[in-house]
Amino acid sequence: MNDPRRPCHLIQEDIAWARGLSPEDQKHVLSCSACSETAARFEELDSRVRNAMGADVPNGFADRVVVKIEAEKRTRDSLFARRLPFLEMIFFSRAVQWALVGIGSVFGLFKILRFFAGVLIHASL
Amino acid sequence: MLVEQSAQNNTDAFRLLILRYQRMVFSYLGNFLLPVQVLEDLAQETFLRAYRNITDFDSEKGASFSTWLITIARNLAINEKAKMSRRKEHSGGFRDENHGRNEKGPQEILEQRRLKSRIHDAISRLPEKFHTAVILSYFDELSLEEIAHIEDCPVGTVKSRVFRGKQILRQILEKENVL
Repeated sequence: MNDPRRPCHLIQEDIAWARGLSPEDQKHVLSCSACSETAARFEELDSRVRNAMGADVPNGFADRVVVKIEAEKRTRDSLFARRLPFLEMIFFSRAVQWALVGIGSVFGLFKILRFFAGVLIHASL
Repeated sequence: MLVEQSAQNNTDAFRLLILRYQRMVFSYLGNFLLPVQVLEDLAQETFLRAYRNITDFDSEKGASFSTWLITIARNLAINEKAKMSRRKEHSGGFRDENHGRNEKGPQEILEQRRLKSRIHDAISRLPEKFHTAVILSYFDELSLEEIAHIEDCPVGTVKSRVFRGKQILRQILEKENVL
């Protein structure tokens, strides 16, 4: 950014990025027709796009999400915490989740090895 | 702070996070040309998933909460677009659901809506690798590094994608006589 001899294409990328230019680059843009044209073209584009991207958030959106979160919590609490605390303890424990993944992987590996062993035995017979 | 409080099941803190980021999520999803109801559903799902997995969010990995949120929204939107394209093959077009609403109002409002929808349409026609970079570049709250994190590419690539993407976008809008 501080090199006054930066090539035009890098300055034009900064113009497109539209978060401000260094004083040296600003000076360059004023004296370079290609860069000043790029700046003008992107400025017009940015103003149109920014205008179009202004989103309308529906009223009460945050409250609706929170209501859903609370409902999910209640469902989870009633399903696990009240009736099945043991299952909750199992399935929400990271250690158990990793153990299940490990067991599954070992089982899968065993099946694959057994398959290849079977193929090799058949081939050798 | 709010993220940590939300991770401890504090829904009031999470509500504040929603209020802080809802506009950004809606603006981002708005560029995928989705019907209004689907747009809200996806925005809701984005925040629900964020809440469910908030304990997995690790700010020390370099991503900010907004980056993480946009990544969730992006995945949801891409999946939804794919689903809609498959459905479209059977029942012809979903675009009218979004833009064909017969809302009556002053001529200028209608004209503004048309212009807005043409710009969204032009953005949606950008090639995939420029699409996200261009949209995210308009969110001042996201830094170049954060966009690079979302896009999973170097910072320099993001800059050149934004530059090239905006050039293409301008060409599309010029052809459409919007610019």
